[in-house]
Amino acid sequence: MRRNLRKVGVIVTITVFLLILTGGSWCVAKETLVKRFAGTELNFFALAQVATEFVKDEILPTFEKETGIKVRMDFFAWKEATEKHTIEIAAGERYDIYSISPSWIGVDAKAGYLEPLDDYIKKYAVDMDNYFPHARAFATVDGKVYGIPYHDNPVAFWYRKDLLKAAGMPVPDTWYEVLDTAKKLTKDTNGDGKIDQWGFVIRGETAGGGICWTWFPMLWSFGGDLFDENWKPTINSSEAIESVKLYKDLFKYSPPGFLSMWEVSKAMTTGRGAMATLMAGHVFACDDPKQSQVVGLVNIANMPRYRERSSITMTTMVGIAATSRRKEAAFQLLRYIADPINVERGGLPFKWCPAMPFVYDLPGGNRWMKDIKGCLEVAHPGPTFPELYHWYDIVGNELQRVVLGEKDAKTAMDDAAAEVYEVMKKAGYYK
Amino acid sequence: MNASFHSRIFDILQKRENIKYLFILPTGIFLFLTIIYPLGYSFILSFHSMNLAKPYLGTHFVGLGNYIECLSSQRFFSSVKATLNYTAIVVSVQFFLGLGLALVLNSVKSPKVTRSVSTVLILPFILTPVAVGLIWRFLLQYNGIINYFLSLLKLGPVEWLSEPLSARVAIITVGVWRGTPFAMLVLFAGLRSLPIQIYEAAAIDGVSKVQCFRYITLPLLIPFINFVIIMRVMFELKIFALPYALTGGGPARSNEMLSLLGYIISFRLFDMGLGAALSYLIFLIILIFILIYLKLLSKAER
Repeated sequence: MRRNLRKVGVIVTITVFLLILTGGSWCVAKETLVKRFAGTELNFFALAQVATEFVKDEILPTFEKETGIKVRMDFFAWKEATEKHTIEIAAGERYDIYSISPSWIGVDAKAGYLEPLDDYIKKYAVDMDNYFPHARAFATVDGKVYGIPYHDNPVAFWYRKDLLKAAGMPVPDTWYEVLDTAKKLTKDTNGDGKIDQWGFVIRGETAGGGICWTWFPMLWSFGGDLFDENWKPTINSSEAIESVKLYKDLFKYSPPGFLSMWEVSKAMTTGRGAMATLMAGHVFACDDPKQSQVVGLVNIANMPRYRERSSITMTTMVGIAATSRRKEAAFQLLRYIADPINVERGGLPFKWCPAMPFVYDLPGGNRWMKDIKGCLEVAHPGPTFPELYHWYDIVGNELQRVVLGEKDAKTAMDDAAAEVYEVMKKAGYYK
Repeated sequence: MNASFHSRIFDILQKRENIKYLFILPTGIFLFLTIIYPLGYSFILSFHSMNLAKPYLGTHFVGLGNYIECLSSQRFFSSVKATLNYTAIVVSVQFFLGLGLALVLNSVKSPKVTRSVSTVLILPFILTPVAVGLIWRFLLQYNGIINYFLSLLKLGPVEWLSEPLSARVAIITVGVWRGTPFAMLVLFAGLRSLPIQIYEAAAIDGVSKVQCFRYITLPLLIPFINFVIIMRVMFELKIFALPYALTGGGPARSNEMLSLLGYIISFRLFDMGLGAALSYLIFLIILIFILIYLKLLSKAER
């Protein structure tokens, strides 16, 4: 008995000793790994968003302190970033890290401008299952991961609860209910003969694919799509044409002009709009007394439906330039951004819309979290093929012609489909 | 060998007449790097197919393929039409308005007043074009201040930027607002340089003011007028910032000027070869205009 006890005691002692030894050396290894890149300077091409401002203000100070890596961020508004980032990433070595939108990742990945991240993800055990399935899909091109999602900004349905209540109308559930409600809520409220309250504020600029992004949820809701499985354009299907007619009808109840995303947001925060569909991330401004005249009055809901509910989301990711000489150091920042603790810190009080579903279920979130999550759950992955910019240019122009009355929906979509077909044919999609 | 090479260089630099080359060398290098090299590179690129978003396709020589693609494109000719239409109207208005303002300024006796007024009038010209476009986009919004004043006068509101025709009027108006000060300044300088003695002699001969203007002022101003017209046409044919900032070339490409089309092709569709070819076609259009204008001038002089 005593011998056995002695044996057990020796075994336990050796085990504890070994644990301390290996645990200690593991801690040393982790410390060495994190500090290994101290002194490195990284340049970050960042989309100007609340999420990236959060990275600059809240994540970078602790990141720089813990790793010794210095990060310089340059911010670009969406429209400028769309045009500038390809030039920068193609030119080479200025930036190590890029904000990447779903519109760009297909182009950049196929062009070889982005570094595949699979090996780093495996090495540093980044759990990609933390993300929404569509966010993982966006980040993956031809089976390889090129970006770490951080900001998942779906198009949501915005409405003024006070105006609907005053009109005795429920929150519309279908697209035709939206149209009907928009008609009733478009009015001259002060008797000067000029409409000053618009039923449905709609985004119509062509730059950056804006008009297409407004149309996509309608298109998919009606059962249409961009292409069939053989990449033949289907934007002139009967479902697509119906959705274009709806888009044109809604335009009658929007302030004149082909508005930008900013102008739609301004129309809502200044109280001129009753309803809109716009990125959920902008609704934060509606409750900011410095910017909004309608604090507490704007709610968001899941997207209206026809055959199905459908949204589209701008899952912004961070990726590493293939030409960067500091890739592994750059991935340290991506790890920090992907850390659920940091995601929760930023997402919960709604600094931005996280790409991780668990944040939306935590207590203490803002009043829009549940509906944003609903939109994210019905969000389609947006298109990400190399000819996308050309596609936006063609289809955006035809949609504007329909709104102007220069063409009817069928003619416009037939013309767009024919032009897209030629572009895809020239690009070698059809054998 | 090295020693003889260095001594040769030293001998060359020692000669006085060679020192001037040393002084212009830095500027020459700068001009080469910023103008000559990019011009040459883009000219060669215009004969190649190169897409920045698809580098895996490589760069291929296509001869005149890009030029043929431009010249057989409906979109290109719509752009040419929009640009020529815009330029013709804007330059005409700039010239007449500029001449009128110059004549008014020239009639002011007080140099202080002349200086103050001309400083204020020149402001639109010195503002950054994109900033001008963005400010005017804000002013011309449906709920903007211009429509507010038009509503007070029962003349509005006008959907300035949402219809092709009104958007064209808006772009022309802003173009005139921005470019007239240049015409005014040059013509004012021209008026001030005219010899007073001719007018004194004309006054003695009993020539009326209208006759003075027609037979004395205008002919003497011809060199300045030519300069204004050539410079304004060259500038307006290349217009980019105003249509870009005001309407993005819309609505529905109705105000897509040539330079803006080149920008879209190069920096949104990333077809650099086609964009380069288009920019040289713009250069050719400007060159053809200048040659025709100079030919007409020399005919008129004869």
